[in-house]
Amino acid sequence: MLGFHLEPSLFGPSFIVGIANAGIYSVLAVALVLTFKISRTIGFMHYGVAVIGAYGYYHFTAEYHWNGIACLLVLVGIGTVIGGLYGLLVMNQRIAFLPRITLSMISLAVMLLLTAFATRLFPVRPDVALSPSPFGEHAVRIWSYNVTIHRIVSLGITVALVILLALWLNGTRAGVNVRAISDDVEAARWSGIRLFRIGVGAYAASGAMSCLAGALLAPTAGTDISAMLLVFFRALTVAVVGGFRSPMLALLGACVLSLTETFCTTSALGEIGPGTKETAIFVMMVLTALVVAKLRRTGHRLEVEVL
Amino acid sequence: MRHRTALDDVVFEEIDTSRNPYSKARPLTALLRQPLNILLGILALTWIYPVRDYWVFTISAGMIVAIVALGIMVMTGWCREVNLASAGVYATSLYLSSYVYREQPGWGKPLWCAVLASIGIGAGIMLGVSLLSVRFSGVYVMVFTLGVQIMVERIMFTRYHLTGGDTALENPRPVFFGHHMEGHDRQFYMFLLVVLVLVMALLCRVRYSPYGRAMMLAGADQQSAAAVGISPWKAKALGFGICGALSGLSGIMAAMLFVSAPTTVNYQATTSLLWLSIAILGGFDSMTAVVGVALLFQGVPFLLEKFHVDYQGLAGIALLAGVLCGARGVGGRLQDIYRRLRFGPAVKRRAARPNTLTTSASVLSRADGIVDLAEYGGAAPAARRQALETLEGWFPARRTEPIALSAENIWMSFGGVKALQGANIEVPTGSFTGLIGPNGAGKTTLFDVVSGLQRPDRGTVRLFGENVTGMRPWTRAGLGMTRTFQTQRTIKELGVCDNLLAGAGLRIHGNLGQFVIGQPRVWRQVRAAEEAAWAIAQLLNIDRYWDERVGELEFSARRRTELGRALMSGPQILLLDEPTSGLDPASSAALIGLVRQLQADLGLTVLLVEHYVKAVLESCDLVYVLAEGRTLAHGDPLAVAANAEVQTHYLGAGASSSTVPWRQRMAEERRTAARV
Repeated sequence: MLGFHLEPSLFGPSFIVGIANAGIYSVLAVALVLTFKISRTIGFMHYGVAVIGAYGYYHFTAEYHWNGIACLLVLVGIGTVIGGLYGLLVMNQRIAFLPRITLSMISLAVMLLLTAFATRLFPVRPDVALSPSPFGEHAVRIWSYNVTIHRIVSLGITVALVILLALWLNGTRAGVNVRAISDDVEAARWSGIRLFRIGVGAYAASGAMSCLAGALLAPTAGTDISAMLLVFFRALTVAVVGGFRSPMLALLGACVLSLTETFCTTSALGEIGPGTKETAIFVMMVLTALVVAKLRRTGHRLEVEVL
Repeated sequence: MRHRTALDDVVFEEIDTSRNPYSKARPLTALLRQPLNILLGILALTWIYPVRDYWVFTISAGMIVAIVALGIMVMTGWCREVNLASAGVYATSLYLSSYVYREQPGWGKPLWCAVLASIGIGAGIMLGVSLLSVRFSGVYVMVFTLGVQIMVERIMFTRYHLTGGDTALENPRPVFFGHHMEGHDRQFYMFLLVVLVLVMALLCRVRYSPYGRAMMLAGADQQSAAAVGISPWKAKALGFGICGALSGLSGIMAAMLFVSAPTTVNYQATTSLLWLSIAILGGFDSMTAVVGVALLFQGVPFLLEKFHVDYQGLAGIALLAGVLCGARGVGGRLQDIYRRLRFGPAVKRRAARPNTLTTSASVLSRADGIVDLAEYGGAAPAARRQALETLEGWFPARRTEPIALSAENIWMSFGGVKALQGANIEVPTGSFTGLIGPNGAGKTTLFDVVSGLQRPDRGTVRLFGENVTGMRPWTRAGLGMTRTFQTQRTIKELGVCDNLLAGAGLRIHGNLGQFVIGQPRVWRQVRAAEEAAWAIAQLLNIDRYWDERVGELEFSARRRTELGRALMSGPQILLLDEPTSGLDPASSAALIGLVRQLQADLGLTVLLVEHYVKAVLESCDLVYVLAEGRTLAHGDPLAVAANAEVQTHYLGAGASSSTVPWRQRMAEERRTAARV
């Protein structure tokens, strides 16, 4: 039911929780942006890698009682390998220049295969709902509201990733090459940029980020596939809101989306049902995409493909 | 004097051009002529009797999935938009329509009400999504459809009074003519088979109607579609609507088949992906293949139950296999194999259908680059005459206003770049006008403004005196203006025939319903369009490629196919944007000569942008020179070539034209012929 009734006392805590939650979404979103820069397609496979991260983390901590941080490191390594292998596949000359829809299909296919692989390789025990956070279970009190250390560290990791990525993209030769590929793959290739090497590297890095995102999700969202898909969709929304252009915009988009979601959930704006919340987020995504398209439209009236 | 080539000595047999041999204007009859389809029909009717009940039930469920997959095929294969919300739409229709149909809890309305409601719900949701495709396409639509799926999951799946939650709600099976289908799986299978065959028949008619070809052209290239009078948004909305309607229809069928409404777990986003993979693997070229893949997807996991086949893994493998097979999927591959086995390889097929002996053929086959345009004045062979007679009936009456097109004081800028700064152009009716200028002069921008792809910052565009500045490109096409593009834009996966017919929408009148029910009047128009397309193919010398896929043709033939598609819209004025781009000098000269001849024969008005200055000066009646967004000079080709400013800006100082304009040469040739 839609019943707007403002609760100013909840604004502060909602803001804190919203910003803290943004970290979870934006790690995946940053990976999506990086992949988009290389291939101009949506990296659906990141969802598959994130599922491996979540299931792997759950499995290693619940089954083998590994140390959380060690788990994270191992999974980042696994993510790097998977991302790199995917990069080897799609940066191949015979595939890299296929239409974007075809590349998206390949990405969707790999996503499904990875998800199937994860659920087979890491079976979930019904008696264990959530896995422990690698950063401990304690909470920090901010503005009279408890925020788990897990959320804070997740946000910290995202901010660090965004800053590193922005520095890399703007300050290094490889980063400039990535931007060149993003503008025009063909021109970049003829300018001597090593498309294959740069592409595989970018995919490996984004694979690592996705796996990390999945592992960070496991202690909060568990291993429910549909819940994880929802988080992936949120990350996708964040990337759309950020215009798929820069990691910084993705982080900003994550904050906007996360705040919207938290304000809806915490009743700061009154009692809002899940359907209304979802509709609000969808409308926000569409409107932002429309604005981005409007700002970017310099070409033909019918060339409306903003990506 | 031109050199002789081997082709000059070849005497081609004239073939009967009165009707083309590959008519697709009777799609259902064509299907029934295929022995394989008859065989499949008999198999579908008889296999159920010797097998166990659970197999009948499983395949019935597969047939319902096949109906959804056919809808996805329309959206993904024809309109080239990916739908990730099909499971959500299907489930919404299933739960809502069963509420309409069911007695308790529900409204207990008759079955037909539920069917209509179901189709309406599905079509309504997808038409809503199609509004987004007005502004977006490609991966963005994919993300939005995923958003719709998630919204359905949050809004619909949490309404337990509709879905039943964990307690399954009972849906009764239908009663036909007093006969209750409860517990009669074989009879229900027959009912579903009839529904599936009807859906396939209707889709088959849509596919070969102008609406189907409009969807395909709009999916392949929106600008090309707009240029021949197709509103890409309407075409895509139709595709979305069909997809939604079929999802809805299968929703109500599922409600009746399963009796106990399935739980929402079965209709999450991963199910949408599974169904998408069916459509991708089946391909857009063969509905039978899509149905076959859907049945396999339902049956194989059932067969391999002990191996615990994972649906996600299966969908992933199917998607990868579909991508490997290409847009035409397994169905397309199988068709290729069948054609190869039956008619031989492409080279052999083409050889069996030699060029008709037209002047265009002899000019195009020449390699020396010398185009003897005087030849065109000679007696045309029978095939050519016949083709022109056919086209006389196809083209609308020529308009007689003195000025066909005018663009006055056009200004256009892109950010800080001023592409056009007060450009003016006036194209007299029936003229062959050229537009030349250095790179960056604004020729293509002026073309875009004139054809409606760009809206100018200032200025007026008139078509036969009517102000069309604010009109959409497809509306302008409806007034008789068609264009081609600098880059080659065809539907590569389809044959020359389909590509040509994609341009015929403006000349065929009838609504979708008339085509679907098979009204003879509208299908007669389609047959007339096929005759016209065949005639144009002959004039452009692409008739030998009639049923070959455009993606497999040489570049020049693709160019001519695109030109033919523009001609099929029956234009009064034809805008050609660098038609010779990418062609060698010989082919370029030949193509310009061919266009010139067509212009004279069909009474067209042509505006040509071209960098091949020699051909422009030789062929055009009037030439405009554009430089830095302004009209630098215009007039007779000889006068323009001699203009000092044009020489400074474009042709180079001291350049002079030694060419003789086309009309002058033609007149000279006729005088000589008369003397002889």
